[in-house]
Amino acid sequence: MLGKRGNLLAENIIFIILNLVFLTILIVFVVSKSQSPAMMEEEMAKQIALLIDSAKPVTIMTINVESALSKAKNNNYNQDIIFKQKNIVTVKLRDKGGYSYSFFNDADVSVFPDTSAGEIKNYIIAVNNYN
Amino acid sequence: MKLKKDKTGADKILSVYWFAMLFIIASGIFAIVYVFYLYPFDVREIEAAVLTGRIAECVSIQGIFDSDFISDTTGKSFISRQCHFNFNSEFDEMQYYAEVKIYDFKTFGNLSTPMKTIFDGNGNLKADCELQKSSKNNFKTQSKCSEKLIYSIDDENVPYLVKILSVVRKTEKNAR
Repeated sequence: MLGKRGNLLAENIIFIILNLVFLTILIVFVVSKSQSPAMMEEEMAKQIALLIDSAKPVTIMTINVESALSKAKNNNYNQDIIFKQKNIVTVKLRDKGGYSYSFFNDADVSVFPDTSAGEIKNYIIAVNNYN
Repeated sequence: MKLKKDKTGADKILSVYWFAMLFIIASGIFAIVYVFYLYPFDVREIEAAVLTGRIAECVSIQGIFDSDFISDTTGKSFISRQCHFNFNSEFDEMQYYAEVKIYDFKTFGNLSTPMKTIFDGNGNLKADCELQKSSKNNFKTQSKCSEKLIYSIDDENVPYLVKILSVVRKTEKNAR
């Protein structure tokens, strides 16, 4: 009788553990998918391009990039994460990767890290005069 | 005793069904998440709306109609020059189209012809708007359009109606 009770307990524990493992895998998958560097690169590049398109000269915008920087650090990428070439803005959080998106606002745009607070937490996007 | 044995058997069957159910639910969630993140974020509608807004601000500067839009004779790239747009992009082909139609306010109607039509960018994209209007379907792989009709008066108090159409393609970056 005691042996059977022990069996029942063990079965229940295994059942609960397997359920928890199952749920954990599910949550890890969803979180990893939603926070993948590729997703973040695309989202940021498009957001920045739309911000530049909507901005009038002279506008200075500050965007918080702490989570993007930590993602880049996790991927051993220590260079500029946001840069601009002509009218294309690129967000790069890993060595092999990066996402570019163009903007139509023909203004002199500069993108640079905000080093005023010592540690970089923000990037500054300055939309200067029209070209 | 026999009853107890059956109960244990039933429990085991139940747990098999339980796991089968969990597996089905998990597969569903995996599939939904995978499909959701497989597609890129489509920002073309917002981009087209921003472009339309920028053109509107350019045609009617603080409510005063810019008469250069009527007097211009230079032709095709007038909108991008006047409104400070750069329609080059990461693609070889031009991904934007902008059109401004100026109507006389007093004679404006559904069938009225514009006093002047100015356009800029890739004119082939306009056909996508016509198709989407006529079929009323949202074709993901086609260009996104934004249209606006604004009222404006010039500095001599002459009223105009200005119809602005903006089209953004960039399909490869926004749809699959």
